[in-house]
Amino acid sequence: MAESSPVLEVDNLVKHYPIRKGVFGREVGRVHAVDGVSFTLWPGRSLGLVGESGSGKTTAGRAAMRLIEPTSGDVRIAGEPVTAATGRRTLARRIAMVFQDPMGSLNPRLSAAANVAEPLRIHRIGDPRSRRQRAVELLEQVGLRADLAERVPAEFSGGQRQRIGIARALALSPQVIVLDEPVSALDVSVQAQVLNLLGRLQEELGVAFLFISHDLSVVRHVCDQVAVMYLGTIVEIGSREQIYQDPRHPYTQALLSAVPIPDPTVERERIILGGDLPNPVDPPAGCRFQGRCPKVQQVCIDTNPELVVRSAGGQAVACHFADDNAVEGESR
Amino acid sequence: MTTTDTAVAPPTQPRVARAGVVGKFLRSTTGPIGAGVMGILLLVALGADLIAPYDPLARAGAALQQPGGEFWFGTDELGRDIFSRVVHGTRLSLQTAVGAAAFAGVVGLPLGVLAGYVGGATDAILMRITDFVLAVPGILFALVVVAVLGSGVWNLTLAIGIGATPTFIRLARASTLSLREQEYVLAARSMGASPFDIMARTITPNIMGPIIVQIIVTASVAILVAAALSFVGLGTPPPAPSWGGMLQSSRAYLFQQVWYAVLPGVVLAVTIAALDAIGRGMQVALGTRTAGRAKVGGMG
Repeated sequence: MAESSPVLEVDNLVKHYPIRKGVFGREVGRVHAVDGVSFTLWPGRSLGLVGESGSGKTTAGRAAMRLIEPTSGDVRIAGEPVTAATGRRTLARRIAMVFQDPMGSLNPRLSAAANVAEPLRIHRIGDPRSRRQRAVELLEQVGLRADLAERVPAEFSGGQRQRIGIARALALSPQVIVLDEPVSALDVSVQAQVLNLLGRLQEELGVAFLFISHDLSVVRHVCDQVAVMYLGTIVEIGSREQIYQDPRHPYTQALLSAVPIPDPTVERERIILGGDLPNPVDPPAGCRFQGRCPKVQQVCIDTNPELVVRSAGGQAVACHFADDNAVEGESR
Repeated sequence: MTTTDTAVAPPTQPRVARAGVVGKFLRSTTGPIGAGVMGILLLVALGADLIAPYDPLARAGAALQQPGGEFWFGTDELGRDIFSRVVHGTRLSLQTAVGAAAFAGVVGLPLGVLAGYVGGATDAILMRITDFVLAVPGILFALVVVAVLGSGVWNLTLAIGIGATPTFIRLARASTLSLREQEYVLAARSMGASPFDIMARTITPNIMGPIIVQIIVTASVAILVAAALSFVGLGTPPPAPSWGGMLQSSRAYLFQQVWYAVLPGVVLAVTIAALDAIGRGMQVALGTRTAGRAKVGGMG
């Protein structure tokens, strides 16, 4: 499982959406949805991509698997570069996706088994009977009994539907699964079940997860690595321990201070951020977090801090004052 | 022909399982009645030779006889049995209805899905063509086609079918547009499905609800237009026993033989009503609601 070469490498990924106006579609601006995102995913590991709505985490995930064409940037899967010419078919065998809305992402006309068998049909693997058989196996693997296989998605609960979605993602035995908010549409009790299932599958299959979520508690539960996104860029990336125990970016610190701790005796200072995400059409010139940062200085307005590795453990922070931020960052 | 097409029904409430649709249809008020009547009409059309007591084209007795034991609804001006002619006319009408609706559906559905899914120039070109056809009143359009191709059952069917196609294109396009952003379409793309596969296997089955309703509507419109064209002498040429043609010839004899006009007229009305009832029942079953059918057909 613990192989030494990364399974997914994303380098300086950029996705801009042009804003066109007028009869001739003149480009009047660009939405900087994702602006230079890089990360590496190892076999059998999970990378959490966290951030608030509009931070570009979903776009980054989709661009990484070329579900949307990135403006620029390199993606390598198991060392092989992925380009526009690679084609979705080839890519689909190595990287699959689980969507947020378990109802909306399943074809309502197809039975559970048929939904799970879709990738096999599309890739012309086996005949209808063997595909069905494989689908039923996959359904059992995610904890759904074989006698439910012929039901349509509408007849399942939310958690069960998401299990079907996961079974479908496993159908082509991909090396990477991009999970886009896979549990945020589910009840909390069901969330835990699905997260445990994901953990078990990862152990059994050695598949890598790119786990996109806004929920820090969920990410903490499943991910070994965490990247915090803000306005299209990663502001901090590191191991789970580094991010949760020793966050260095003021934004990460603010996010963590908002996570409820299930212990009424613990007192802690909450960092309340003012304002909203700046307009991604016109991101600020210096540090992107300058408008909301409690510690903003002149240098933050003038220059954009690079994402720099700050510790031996590989934790990287995009903040001019990352080293000074250490002490008060304890969030336990 | 009105400019609007079907008030676009949200493409099928997908939450309904397939078996549920049939059940709901049968439990709707109008559905089973319409289906029952259409079933009878279908049997009549298929078994016309067995049911009709006389040859619809041959003289069977004296002209313009009143209804009686020998001729149930009397005879026409050439001494042909009116009942037998109406029975055979059923076959003719249903042929036109099925043919025109099938043509419009088979041509319009894929083009509409293509326009909706691919978008861009393909979409723009197809939409301008449909605008053009829709801008010409349906009857006039059918008239022109029949004038160019000559009259005859199949030319008539083709003319009506072409006229009804743009409505299908628009309906399929609109339904596709709203499905295109659905996550399961995105999921199909993520699985590596080709655009053709997505259009044929993922989108089309999921927009069939409104399309089927539209097929029913088109069938009833086709029967009406066929009757109208036959009435003005441009439909099925005599001596074929078309309902419209019979209504036309009966005008001159309304005072001598009223049943000559009543029987084809009533059967025509019942057929249209039955198709309408089916259409409404389907809408109930699919959980969609389209605007009144006067607007829907685009041919009447």
